[in-house]
Amino acid sequence: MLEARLQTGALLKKVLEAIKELITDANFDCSDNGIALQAMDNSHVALVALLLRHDGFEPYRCDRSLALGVNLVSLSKILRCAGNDDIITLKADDTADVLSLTFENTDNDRISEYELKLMDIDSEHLGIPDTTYEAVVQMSSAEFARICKDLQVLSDSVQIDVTKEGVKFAAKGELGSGAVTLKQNGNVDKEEEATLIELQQNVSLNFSLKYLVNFTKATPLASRVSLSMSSEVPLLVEYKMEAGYIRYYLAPKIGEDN
Amino acid sequence: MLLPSPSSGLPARYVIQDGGLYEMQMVDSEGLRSWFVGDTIQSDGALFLITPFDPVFMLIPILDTMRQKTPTSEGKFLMLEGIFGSSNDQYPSMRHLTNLKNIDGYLALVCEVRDSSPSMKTFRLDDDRVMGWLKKKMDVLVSKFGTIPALVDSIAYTESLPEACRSEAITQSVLRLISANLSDSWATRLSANYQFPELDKLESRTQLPSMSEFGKRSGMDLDDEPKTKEVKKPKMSVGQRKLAKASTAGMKPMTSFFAKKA
Repeated sequence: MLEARLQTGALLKKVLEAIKELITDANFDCSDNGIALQAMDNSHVALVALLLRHDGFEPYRCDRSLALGVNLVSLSKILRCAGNDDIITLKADDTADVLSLTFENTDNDRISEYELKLMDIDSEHLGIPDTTYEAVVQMSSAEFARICKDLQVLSDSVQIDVTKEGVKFAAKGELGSGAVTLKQNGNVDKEEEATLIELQQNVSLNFSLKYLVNFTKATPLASRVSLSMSSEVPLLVEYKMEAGYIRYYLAPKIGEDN
Repeated sequence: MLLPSPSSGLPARYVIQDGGLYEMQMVDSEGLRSWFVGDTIQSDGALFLITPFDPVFMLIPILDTMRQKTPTSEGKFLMLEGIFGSSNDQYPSMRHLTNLKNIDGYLALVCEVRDSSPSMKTFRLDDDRVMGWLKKKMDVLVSKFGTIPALVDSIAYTESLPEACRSEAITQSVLRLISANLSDSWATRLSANYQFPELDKLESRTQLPSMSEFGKRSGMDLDDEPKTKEVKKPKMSVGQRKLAKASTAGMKPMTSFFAKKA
């Protein structure tokens, strides 16, 4: 039995927007810790890990661990029926054949109730070890989204170089080349926009821009994004929310020298 | 008194006074209205309109049923009492129609009359006379058309159109008016006598494609799309379709980085 009440429905709507473009079906794993989701995209080069911690809900109750197999497009269609200010309550029985959603609008005393049919999904969970990355860049999420979008005009892939001076995004394609460099700054006045770099070692990696642009669908969820990189391991793009996170992993492109 | 309405055959209210037939219509605003009558208030807001009604319209359907026409026989000749007599249970007040002034004259307009003796007049509805009378009615109304403001308004849309169109519109409007007092079968028979080539041209030029065409078009879509769609691909969102195009050359799968959990 799961019962989770979310004060701001907009959060769940945004989360769905952020993952439904990457994966089709996924299990929402509900436990007393919260609601988690882990899934790979169709070509298995990217992975998304979502966690909505129990303290983000009021109240949250989950007696026994449940896996709710959901078609994300269907779920986001139902969530479109919810207003941004609606309080959303998720409920599911232990049999878990439907997920019932209740949208409460306090302004006009409207209560909408929807039920989503669930499905059985075979999911393989990957164990993701805690890694110490060689370079971690923290920056404005809007800035990151803009850079990815801009460079996509030039090429399908971007080279990210991190040094202690700053981080450089460079793309080269048929029509020309472009690069955006952000200098490390500890701008105290504009904490939201500051670019912070923690560096063990300089890194230079290539990534698919189409995937990065896809990840930036999560931009509305957090004003900050962190990019964690080590050579030869997947890039971690993390958006931290108040009670939880959404993490994207993307395999680097190897053997492509731009 | 209740009589069958000539157009629908359903009961409607009529009044006979001083040998004239009147149609009664009630304008009712569902109890939301009341009237001031002098210094008092009449709470029932319904308004009864009583207007003169040409008895011939009333007679046509009655005669039509009473003559009992069959494909082989032209039907019966009947006396006044036979036509409106007590044989009609549903509308007992029908016999009052015999009190109408000049009822014989009205009947003669649309009936074949046989009078073997002055006291023994018999009548039978005659289709040709009905049509003749209806057409005459049409002509009278068409000629008086301009004097009736409500009718002139009904063809206001033709003001900028050529004269031929306009006169057709007048005929059409009158036809509608008369058909409103006829049963469907008579109305179709009457309208068969009138064609509106100019108006038809106008309509075909200005009319939007009819609903049936829309139906066909969407029907085709319904037939074709699901089949092709289903065969093609499972559902993918926009973002996924974009990613499907992305080159993953040189990228290792996630499983090569992260071990599967037992």
